[in-house]
Amino acid sequence: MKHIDQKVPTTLCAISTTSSAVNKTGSWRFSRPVFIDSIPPCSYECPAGEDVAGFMYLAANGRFEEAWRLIIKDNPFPAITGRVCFHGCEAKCNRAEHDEAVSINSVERYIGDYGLNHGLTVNNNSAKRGEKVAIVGAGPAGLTASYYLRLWGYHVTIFDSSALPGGLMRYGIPSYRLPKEILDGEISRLRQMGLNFKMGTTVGKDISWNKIDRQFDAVFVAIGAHREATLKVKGIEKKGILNALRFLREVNLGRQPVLGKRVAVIGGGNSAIDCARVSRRFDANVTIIYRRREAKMPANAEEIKMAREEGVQFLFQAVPLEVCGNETVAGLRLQKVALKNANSSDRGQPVPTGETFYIDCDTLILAIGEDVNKEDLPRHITYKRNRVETGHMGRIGDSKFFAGGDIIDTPRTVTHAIASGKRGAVGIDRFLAGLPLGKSSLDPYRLGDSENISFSLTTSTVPFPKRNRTREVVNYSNLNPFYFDRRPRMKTGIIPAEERARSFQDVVISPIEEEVTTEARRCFNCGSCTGCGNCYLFCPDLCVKNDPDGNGYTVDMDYCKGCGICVQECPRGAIKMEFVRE
Amino acid sequence: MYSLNQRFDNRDIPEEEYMTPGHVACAGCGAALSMRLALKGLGMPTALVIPASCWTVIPGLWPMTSMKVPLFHTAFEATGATISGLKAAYRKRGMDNICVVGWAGDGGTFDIGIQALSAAAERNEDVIYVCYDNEAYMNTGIQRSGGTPIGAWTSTTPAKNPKAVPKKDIEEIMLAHRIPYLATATAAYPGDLIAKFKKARTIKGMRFIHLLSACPAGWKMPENLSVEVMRLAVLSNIFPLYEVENSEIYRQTIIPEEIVPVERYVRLQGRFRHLSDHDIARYQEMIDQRFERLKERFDKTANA
Repeated sequence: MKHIDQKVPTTLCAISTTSSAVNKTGSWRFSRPVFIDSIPPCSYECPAGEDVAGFMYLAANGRFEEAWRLIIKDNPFPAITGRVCFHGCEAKCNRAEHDEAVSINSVERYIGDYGLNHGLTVNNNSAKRGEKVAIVGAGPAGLTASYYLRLWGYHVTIFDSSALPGGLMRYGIPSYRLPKEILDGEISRLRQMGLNFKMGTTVGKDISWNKIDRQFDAVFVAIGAHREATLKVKGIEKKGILNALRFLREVNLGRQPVLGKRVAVIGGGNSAIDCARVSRRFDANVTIIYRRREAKMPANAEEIKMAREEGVQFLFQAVPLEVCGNETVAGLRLQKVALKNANSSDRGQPVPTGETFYIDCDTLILAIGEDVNKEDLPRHITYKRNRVETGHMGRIGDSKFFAGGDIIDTPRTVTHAIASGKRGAVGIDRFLAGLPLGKSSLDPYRLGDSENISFSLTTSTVPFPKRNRTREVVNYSNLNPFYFDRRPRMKTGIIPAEERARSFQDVVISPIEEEVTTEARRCFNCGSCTGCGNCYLFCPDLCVKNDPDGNGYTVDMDYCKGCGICVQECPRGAIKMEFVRE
Repeated sequence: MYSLNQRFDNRDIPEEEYMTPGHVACAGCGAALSMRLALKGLGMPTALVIPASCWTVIPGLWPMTSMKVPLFHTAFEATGATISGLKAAYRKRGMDNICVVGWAGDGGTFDIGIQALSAAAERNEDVIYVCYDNEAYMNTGIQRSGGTPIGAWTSTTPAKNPKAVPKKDIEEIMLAHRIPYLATATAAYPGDLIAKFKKARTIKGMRFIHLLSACPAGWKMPENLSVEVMRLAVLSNIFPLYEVENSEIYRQTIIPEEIVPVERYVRLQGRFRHLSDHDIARYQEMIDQRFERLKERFDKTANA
């Protein structure tokens, strides 16, 4: 502070000699601004708890490697989730209230591909630990758990009955949604971390659960749900009836499936859509039969749209009564159903109308879900509603066994599997360290009241300073929308329907760098201080300053009068007023 | 760090501060913020002349001052004359590089100081005259001035009988003096404000800058809305941001993407609380008419 200390040479007029800095106007204040770090709705919604606002900021600045490193703190497979995630984040994006939601999925896909194309590897330099952990099942849950446990220095051995790791990501998801080279690339990075893969080994058959129990200090079980549900209709034993997962597995193994010219798929989930779109690629006429309305289908709306564009037909509010034909399927007799109690929250209960009709078909694919196969699991496991019963971090009872993925009670998506693998890894880490595994022990990593763990938002100070983490989720009214202009969402390039229905190539055209940086700039970075300078610039009392430690800004409480302009003008809701008696 | 997604890039704002904290402006004062930003644009060397106004008080009681530039307090009606004299004195002493700035409120400009201002403009003195306009005599207790808008409550125009005549068009008065530079600015658009002060400094002759400056106490609104309200004045065309070179070439410097209704501006402020929807509709008409006249001139420049 520069004081105007001068000798007064004349008595003609009064001249000030002291700086007003001696006048501590902070005493006028009855409330004060506090920099906070609130939870962006996208991260709150993300099962993997990714720092979307952070990686968007880095991508907007072209800092893709840093963006990639930020994502893999929470999700080891950005190139995979960038393709197959259901992206609930976009549904909650505050930008949707401004113009259109940010295309988070496309940006994540680009960042994931950037990591693969540039051969980025994980820095694995934590201290080595002696304990050995077995992972049973090399699907997204098992691989995620092994990634974290290896990262924290444990010896990790992965058992899987298939020849190659990936689980449903390899044998369930068709390659037009997730190309095999992307999957291989992501998994090979895990291999480089020093994981021990025992492929083609079925635990419980080739090696007993007891032996696993004896040889390892902790076990993570994520073998997936494989018991096929079946329909109780007449003629279900006929030839030409396929199970969805087995059908997709055959195709993913590169084998030619035995498929007729007229395929009927029963079910309304994502695997029904997958089966239908795969069948279209084998030149069949495909009809999906679902008992409720289209709006009630559990499948992703974008997938339904693409299936329709590719020529898949839909039959809603119908249930099969009888499979017709002599020895092989020749047709289906169906019954129309009405929906009882269907509204916005309830999917409705189908009730028969008595009206029946017949459709021609020579192949029937059942995509009606799978159950946990209890014979494949150790005997001491308990179940609740046919799912493995677990504690807060996936622990089974008081044992050294933890569970994740489709066998536990969680939505059956890749991203939820990743989340369960991460929770299980934290659980095993704490279990081996002898720490408690209660609900509150995850609190330091949780976002508000969400069950999801985020390492990037709770432990990283890149790219935004993290101060005074709150449990509040930022909504649009917390932002100052004036500072953001209106710009349309990027258009995702999709291969034309006729062309994509003929091949197993990726149906989405990868975005180019310029599209991605432009899209990433649309992100509001809700709840984070990006250092834009508005609080500094609009302070009438000159008390907002650069933080000497580089953590954004600080407020000089000696002079702050508590007007709150900084809070009002913060574009991102990263400051709030706190009423205090001082 | 900064933001790529934000409408304004604040990196160009000069970092140097020419004020110290501890000044005694009310919390959320638009005038204090305006001065802080204006000095960032003006830079050094600069000398200020301030007549009776809030800004007489803001720098602090003697022997304190919050200014890092020389500031001369003068009589209410004398700003125009004092800056003329100060500039002449500096010139005589070979200090012609010092930018002399008169900084008066709306009372000191629209009403009490207009004679001296008009005379200085007529002589085309080489000074900058800034009117920070908070639309009433705020320092003495919110009495109406020539700058008070029609329909506003002040302590001398109570809600039962609010001000019946519109605000003086000070820009037109000044432009009638054929001065080389005139601009309107507000602290809600700091980049624009600073650019105008920078530009004004490079021009010779009489320069007039009209700042809209929110007063939470006198406008009867929460302190944190100062900037928001000034911004709404711009977005609703109540206070369009423009500059005029040689009293001839009009240029709108901030063109709102979408015009907001004056109602949004009016309804944030208690001084307009008594206005009916009908009153606001009439006010909207007046604002539209005035802006249309200006728009013709903006278009004339843009199409030239």
